[in-house]
Amino acid sequence: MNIKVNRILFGLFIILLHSCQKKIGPEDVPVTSLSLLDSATAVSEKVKPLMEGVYSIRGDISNFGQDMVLKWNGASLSGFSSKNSSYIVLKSGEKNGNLYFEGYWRYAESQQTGLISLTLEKDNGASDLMIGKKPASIKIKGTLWDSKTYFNFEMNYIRPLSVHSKAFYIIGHRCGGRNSDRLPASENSLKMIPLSEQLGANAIETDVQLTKDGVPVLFHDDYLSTRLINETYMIGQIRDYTFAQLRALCTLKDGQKIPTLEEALEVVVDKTNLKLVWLDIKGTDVIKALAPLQTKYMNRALITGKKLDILIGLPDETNFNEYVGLNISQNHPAICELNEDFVRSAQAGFWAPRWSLGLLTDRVKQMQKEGVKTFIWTLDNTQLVKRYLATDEFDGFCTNYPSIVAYEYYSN
Amino acid sequence: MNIIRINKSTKFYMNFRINQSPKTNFKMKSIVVLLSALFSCHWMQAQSNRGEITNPLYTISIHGDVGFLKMLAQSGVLKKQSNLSYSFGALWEPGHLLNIGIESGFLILEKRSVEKMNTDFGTTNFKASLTSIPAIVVFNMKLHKLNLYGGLGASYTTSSIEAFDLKTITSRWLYTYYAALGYSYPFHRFGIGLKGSIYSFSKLNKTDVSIMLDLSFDVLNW
Amino acid sequence: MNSIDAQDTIEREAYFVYPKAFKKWHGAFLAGASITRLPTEVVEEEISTSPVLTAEYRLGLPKKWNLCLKLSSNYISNLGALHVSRSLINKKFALALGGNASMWFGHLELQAIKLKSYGVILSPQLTFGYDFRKYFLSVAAEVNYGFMRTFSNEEELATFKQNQSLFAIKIAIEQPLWKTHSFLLFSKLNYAQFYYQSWLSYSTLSDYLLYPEFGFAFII
Repeated sequence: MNIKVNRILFGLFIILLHSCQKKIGPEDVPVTSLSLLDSATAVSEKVKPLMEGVYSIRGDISNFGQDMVLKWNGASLSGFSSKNSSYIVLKSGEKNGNLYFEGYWRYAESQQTGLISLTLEKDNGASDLMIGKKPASIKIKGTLWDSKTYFNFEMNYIRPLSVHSKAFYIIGHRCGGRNSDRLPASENSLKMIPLSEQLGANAIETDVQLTKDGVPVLFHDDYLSTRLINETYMIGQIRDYTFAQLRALCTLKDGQKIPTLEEALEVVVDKTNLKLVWLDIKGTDVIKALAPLQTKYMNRALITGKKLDILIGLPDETNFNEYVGLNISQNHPAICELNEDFVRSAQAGFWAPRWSLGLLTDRVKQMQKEGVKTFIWTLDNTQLVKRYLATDEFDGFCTNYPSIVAYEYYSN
Repeated sequence: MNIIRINKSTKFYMNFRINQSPKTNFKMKSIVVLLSALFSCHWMQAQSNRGEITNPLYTISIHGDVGFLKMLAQSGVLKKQSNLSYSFGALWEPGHLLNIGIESGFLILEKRSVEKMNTDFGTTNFKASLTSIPAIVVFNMKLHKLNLYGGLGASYTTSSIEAFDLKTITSRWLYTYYAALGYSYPFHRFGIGLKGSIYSFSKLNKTDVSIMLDLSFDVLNW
Repeated sequence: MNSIDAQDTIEREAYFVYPKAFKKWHGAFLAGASITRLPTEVVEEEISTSPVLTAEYRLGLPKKWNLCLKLSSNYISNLGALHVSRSLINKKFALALGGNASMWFGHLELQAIKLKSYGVILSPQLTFGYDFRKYFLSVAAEVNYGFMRTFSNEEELATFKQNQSLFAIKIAIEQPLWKTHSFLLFSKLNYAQFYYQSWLSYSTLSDYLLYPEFGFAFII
């Protein structure tokens, strides 16, 4: 028995230590090998605004709750629901007068995912939608799979998306979510940027640091570690390495390279309809390096007919002093995380208090009177999202779960 | 249903060319030496007068270890490469089950070398190493002839990267968790044995395992 | 090298976690520290190691009932617990069944954080142990149920339910160290969706993650 005790003890020590190695990171989403969309054509643009709305859910599965918000992003249709913080991301196509949708469903806060296939048939509203007419009813039917079984799934149009008096920004944190949220792309990566729109975001927050040779790149942590990169032998800070070293010697968790700010802004302008980019500054001397890029890409967006705000984040007094010292507030909008006095001194048009300061109702109202928009960060929990939305004061939420905010915002 | 992704990092690892055979021979020889040393010591112990030294009330012992250290990949699989590492420490043995001590050493966690590596920035020779000097408070118990160790501390960990004719050295202090199981033959005031250890480093999320030859000596008995 | 035979017998009741009942109205005091590794998925690059100082008092009650009071703190997270158990088997192999009622309070005020949270945790607990003469080996298993309320500037922000938020196994070795004082060494595997010492992260992950805890204490 004694020997057994030793073995058990040692085994437990090993488990104790090695257990710490369980890691949660980016995960691929399921894809179907046979697709109905193969010979389908793109869905007409006139269909999209008519189809968006809140739908009731019926079927064998109750895990998505009672209703779902459906919203288009380019050729992709996304759905956001309340129960289990679930969402769907679907590719779309039109064939034989029917609309087909295929993609995946996910519970935002867990790893559960599966395939989903939906059809909007001619007789269930597709015909009217395709001629730009709002049908009397829209019924979307289909099937979804989890890892074991498949379920029938049906959605019926109830009402349009909620209309609010002012623009609201759903800001995807770290370009749309963290590595621990198991999205199919690494945080602060190029693939994450268009994905953030599919997840419900209409803006993104990202982290900017300078390499040793002064290239602004996207990276959140103070140090390289296996939380964000695959390689185990690089443990320094971004500023310890040259851009060539970072690009050649390390990869993000999903295999992508660490992106430059310029590459990221190109993706924002060319491949998305995002309205705002919040550049969270990490370290000193970053503002000087990124200010020209800010101007370049805001102008480039204007040329392509988009209104894009790119904001320089001022998270601390060092960055605040650098920004004020450069005297660039006129042409380089900023978002300040410090208190209102700093916001006024920096002439920043945006204030970003952390949610953990409370609801701040009177202070937010005062800033709005002064023409300053207020974004709260980083709001993830459904209850907190509801509580802060209920105040109807904030101009945007920065979140790791844009799908949760999207459901709460568009359904209420 | 899941996509099997061969990502860029996998390809990157696949590009490494490491000539393993001389090292493998060296390892085999080292294992033979270790086993011979253990066998000799066991034989010598059998010839000696056991129990010559009576159990003292308090003992301070020192020990030194040399052996191989391997890094566990995140999948829990041992990485192919192992490195010669050293550790040493001291234990206060107050006459009960529990002994308290400190543990340090020089651990080579990782070494890589690629000649003429192709990158987007041209061809370069690449060298990387990760080493660690731990400072750990260790609790030790002798349970039925086996020595069980558990400890907490910090490690001064250094990364060295050489590529594009530029060497970058960075260092960090990291929390370190330590566990080991050892077996030691007593021989007068000496002991010789084998020790299997696990080092786990915070922030890096790395775990390394080692097998080391363990030599110990009772410095003080009273 | 080790001289475990130097002391053949140990003071009875030189234990704290070992579930054998104390004599009626006999008490023991324990003071120690533990350190818990918080998963980086929850706390990211913030403080991933949580040290806590602990003081406990165990009292033997009539009819093999045990009462234990526990206070632990690292300033940000503070916990008070009342543990009641009954020793069902009182031989070399001992077993006790009981439960904890804990209340924790967390607070932090920094430039961007003004938060207070408190929570209640109820946890049934089963402890068994074996007296190896020279040491006691005990294993305790528990499940946590609870809730947490959070406030900022005295305004309640949310209440979170935490059903079956944690499963834990604690392995403890107790042995004499100095005169009549004993030493407790334990490791605890907390398999949790929510662990009170990481309350400040307001994690939304629904996964059960491991929070390994390692601790030591003196039984006085």
